[in-house]
Amino acid sequence: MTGGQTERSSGYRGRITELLSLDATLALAGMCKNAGKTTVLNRLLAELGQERRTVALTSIGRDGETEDVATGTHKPRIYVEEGTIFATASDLLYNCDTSTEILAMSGVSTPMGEVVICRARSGGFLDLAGPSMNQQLVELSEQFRQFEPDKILVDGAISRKSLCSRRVAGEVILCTGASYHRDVDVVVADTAYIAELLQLPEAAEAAWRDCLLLARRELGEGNKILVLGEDGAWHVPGRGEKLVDVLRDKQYQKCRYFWLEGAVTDAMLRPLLLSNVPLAERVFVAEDSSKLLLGEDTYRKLGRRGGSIRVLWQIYLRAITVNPFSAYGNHFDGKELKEKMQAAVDLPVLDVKEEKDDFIDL
Amino acid sequence: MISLTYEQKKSLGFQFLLDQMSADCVYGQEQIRQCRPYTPGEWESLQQELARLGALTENYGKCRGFWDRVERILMNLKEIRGSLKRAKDSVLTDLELFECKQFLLQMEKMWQFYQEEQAVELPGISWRDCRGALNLLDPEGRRLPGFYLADAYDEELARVREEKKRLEVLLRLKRSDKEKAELLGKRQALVAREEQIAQNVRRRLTNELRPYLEDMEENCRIAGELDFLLQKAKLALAYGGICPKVECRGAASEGRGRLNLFEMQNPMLQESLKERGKEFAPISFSMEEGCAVITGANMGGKSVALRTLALQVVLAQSGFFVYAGEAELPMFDHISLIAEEYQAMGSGLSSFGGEIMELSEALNRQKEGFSLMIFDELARGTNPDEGAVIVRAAVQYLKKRRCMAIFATHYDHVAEYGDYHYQVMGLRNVDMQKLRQEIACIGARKGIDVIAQYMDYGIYQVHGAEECPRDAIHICVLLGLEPELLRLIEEAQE
Repeated sequence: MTGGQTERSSGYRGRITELLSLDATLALAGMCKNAGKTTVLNRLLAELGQERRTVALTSIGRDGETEDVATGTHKPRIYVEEGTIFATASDLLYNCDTSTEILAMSGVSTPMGEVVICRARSGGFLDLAGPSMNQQLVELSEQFRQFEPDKILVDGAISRKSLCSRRVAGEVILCTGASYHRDVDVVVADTAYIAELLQLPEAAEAAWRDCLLLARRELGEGNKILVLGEDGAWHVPGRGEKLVDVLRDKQYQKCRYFWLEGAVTDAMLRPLLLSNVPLAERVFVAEDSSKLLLGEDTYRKLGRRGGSIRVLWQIYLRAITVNPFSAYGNHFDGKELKEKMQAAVDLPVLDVKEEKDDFIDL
Repeated sequence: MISLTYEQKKSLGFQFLLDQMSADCVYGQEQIRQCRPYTPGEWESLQQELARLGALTENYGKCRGFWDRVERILMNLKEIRGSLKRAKDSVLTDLELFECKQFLLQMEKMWQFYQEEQAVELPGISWRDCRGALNLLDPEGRRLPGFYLADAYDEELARVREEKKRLEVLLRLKRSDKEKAELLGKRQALVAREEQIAQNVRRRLTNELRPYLEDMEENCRIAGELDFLLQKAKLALAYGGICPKVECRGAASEGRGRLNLFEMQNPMLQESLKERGKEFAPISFSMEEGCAVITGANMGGKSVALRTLALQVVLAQSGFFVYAGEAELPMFDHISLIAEEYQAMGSGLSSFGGEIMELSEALNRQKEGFSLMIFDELARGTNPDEGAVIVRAAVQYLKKRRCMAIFATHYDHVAEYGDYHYQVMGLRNVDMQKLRQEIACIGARKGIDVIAQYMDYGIYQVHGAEECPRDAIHICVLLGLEPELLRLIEEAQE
């Protein structure tokens, strides 16, 4: 399905499905509220419907309300085709106006009741609230598979901090827009930075991957670092040691790869930047890009010192969508936003409002 | 009514057994949680429970495959009693109808399975046939797990849905915003109508389900009881339990009660001994109404005997198998366990004060029914002279009452006031010569372990007056205590 034409100047105008691979779970991530996530989702659902593909759909946490509770703006609702499998909290089931067949109880509880797996026996609008934890999403995806969907979609929650982990989704579409910031250049720059993190490649040496998976089991509480030694094995440095101390340690001087378990934060990397430890050629490996909670400043400085960040599992960023309409009143010029965004990234960029007549948008 | 605190259940090793039971379904879970001893008035129910537990335990080993399948069906049962209750006066939602259908599908499986296989007959466990209810929720008879208010339920429902679908196709064609809004408006009206009809269908279905509610509730109860029985049977098989003979003798009836427990085991203590590479020595104990006294030096043997004994009583009276070679027990109205370790911490009383409060409550209960009273080192916390006097007096007092009282004590001259006297074996049957040689080889420091290995924690009944065993002094000698000091001790003894 890949291979849609990307024009550098005017952005992408093809079908979204052409940017995706069918077997991976797709997550929609937003830079902020009102980034146009639901509009993108509706368009995608319509496209998949035209292709006669069965979709399984859920969301991280709650989405799909008609009004944005925080800002009072009118929000589009999720519209699905007949045959769609969806999972939502039991309390919200009766806000869904499809003719609904109940297939199974998922066993995942939410504040709005247990998540129920359903099949839409007609088209209709949904009110979705799925699991809020990655592990639950993984379990739910497993349960989806018994109903043999062609594609699993996860409507992500706001803020990139809850980006799907690789265990949940293999590919992602990043949604951004005027609601993120009043300055179009800030929107573009910040989105481009997140896109860069999302596209970080996998650490190349595949040979030590299996060793790493084994070595990670050795990591105990409070111990987040593994070092790839010259002998080709991963070592746990002394318990509770800080990253900067590990790098200073003479025995690890020639080591290049450092595994960082869990979230990678500014607080972890700043001490390196303030010290004089050599960072050139040194590679810090995180599980996947959802684990990178790094400010751009830290990230760039690390790069300037010759260090780099890689991931164990890459999540594939397939496209960026922009929404020039702001929930806070200062709308952007759609053409300008799209062009600036397109100039900043080497990815398909779509304006969510451009071709609205393909799908229901209300 | 007999009620034990969590600490008491834990100390006896009863909680250890309860914790090992893991129910297959919510109904069994509830039974385990609510498990309590039967009262003497419920003697017949207890007999039935023990009889069917016996039948099941015997059958479980023979027909393992059958019971595995029954358990797999039980595991698929979800809680539906809330829905069943609501169905009596309200209209069930799709989700509730779905859950009922899931339950009924499992019930059909169970029912058919029981028809096909010759299952052992257990009193009170006979599944109700609810296939009629399942047919209501699965009119097409496809027996699929999902639930849908199918078009077949109502002609108008089918028509409205068809129209809704037609509009949805139109909506997908390129149209102006105005046309779209119009179509969506029409669709909205149809959705409302669909919901109205659907609600009528749900009402009708709920009404039609009503005659089956009682049978469905009954099946929930049966599922719970069977689940509980299965877990009890597994527990009996895991540690070699036997069916106790429980006599219907309580305060209300005439005749003397008899407690006869031969070669008791305590699974919790067995397990913890096994971890240390030791074995549990079976304990035998028997008495009729009156007072029994267990004596012995402070070595733990008395407490183990008391706890193991109390465990069997609680197990038998709660409808479980007991861990013994033979077991004959009366039914008690009350069981009082009095020991320092059972005292609630932080009650503000000293341990002695707490014990005395417990004692006086137990004596009050004793007046109201047939009591089993167990005292582990009563008055241990006070000075030995007064303590001994208190225990002797308590034995004398209870001896004349209708109860079974068992005292474990290291105080002298208590046993002679009781009806029965038991003594911890200790080093009684040990070849002292051999033991001394062994310690000489290994050195006094490790001698303690050797003595512990030879120590017999079992008890034996003492008939008539018997000299108090000299285990404490034996140990002093074996461990090579200063000869001068030993001489003084022996002089004082004489």
